[in-house]
Amino acid sequence: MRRLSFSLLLAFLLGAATLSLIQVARGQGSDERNVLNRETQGENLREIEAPDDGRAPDQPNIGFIDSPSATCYQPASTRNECFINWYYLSVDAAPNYMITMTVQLNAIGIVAQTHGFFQTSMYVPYNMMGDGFQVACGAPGAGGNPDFGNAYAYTIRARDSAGLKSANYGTVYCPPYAP
Amino acid sequence: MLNRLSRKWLAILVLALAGASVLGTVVVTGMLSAQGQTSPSSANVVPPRREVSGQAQTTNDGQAPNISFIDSPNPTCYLPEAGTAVCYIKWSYLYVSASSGQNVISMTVSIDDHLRAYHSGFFQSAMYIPGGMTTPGYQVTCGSPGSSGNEEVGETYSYVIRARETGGLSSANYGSVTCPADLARVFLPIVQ
Repeated sequence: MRRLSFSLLLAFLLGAATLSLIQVARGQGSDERNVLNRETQGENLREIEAPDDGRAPDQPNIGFIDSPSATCYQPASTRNECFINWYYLSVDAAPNYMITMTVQLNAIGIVAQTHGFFQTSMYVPYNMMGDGFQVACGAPGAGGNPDFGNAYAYTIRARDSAGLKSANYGTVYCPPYAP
Repeated sequence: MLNRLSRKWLAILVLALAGASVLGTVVVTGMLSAQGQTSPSSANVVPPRREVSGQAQTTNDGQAPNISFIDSPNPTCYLPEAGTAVCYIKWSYLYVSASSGQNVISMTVSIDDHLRAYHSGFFQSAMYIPGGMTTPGYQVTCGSPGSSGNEEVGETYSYVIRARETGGLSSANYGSVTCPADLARVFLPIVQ
């Protein structure tokens, strides 16, 4: 009886180990992305990704997203209130259509989503976002640099009708709030 | 006797004159130093200056590439609503371009030694920040008439705009801007 229960326990443990291995292998597979083009510069990174179904064109149509001059400014130094904005956001997917472009402040979530409407490119100027996205400026050094306040990592993603994706990853530092 | 008396009066007169001159000097010096203390922003007046600094790497043709001067025209301090004492500082635009083959890392705006804006470059060889991007501008206190030494205007603020590029060079503009004078008006309710 004791030998039987020992065998059952051993079989159960072996089975569980095998299943967990399968899960790890599957998880690794789903994390792999088909990145067609990637560039880095300091803390900035931009990349273009192939569709999820594995189709990878030799010449991807979607371009890098243009998102110059990521800005964090503090209108009033007496308030812990800063605004993040970009000069403009632009991406070209011709001849495919643009589906969406989203702006995500990683600490907050998606703060803007612009939809394409039978358009092959997308241009979103700074004044389309009002004053920008309000965030806390943060105490001096809060973002790791004593000269600045909070640091906000951001991700800008664009997707076209062929399933291609483009993404920009960066960080913007805010002026410190030091009343 | 009369001669001795007049000598005495003459000595008293000379002593009185000397005392008055010493007292006058003390009073005038005190007034000048007090005036200096009550107008701290007069020290904020910074003569416009722009500079490029850093060590540039020479190119194959022997030319040293250079980051541009920062273009920051029309520094303005405006008072949108009289009676609030709230003014805003802004520029028409800010523009800088990096050396050939380099990118702009950042451009910052500081007013009275307080960092107010950080513009981060993203794979870009030049940076253009239109005035409308930092609407309504940087809020400051307008200041009372004469707070900068001129009775017709208010406070004066110094500013520094700095830009850095990937080649190790940096560019900076120094200047000051004077605001209109304005004081906050407080209206008390009429209780009958």
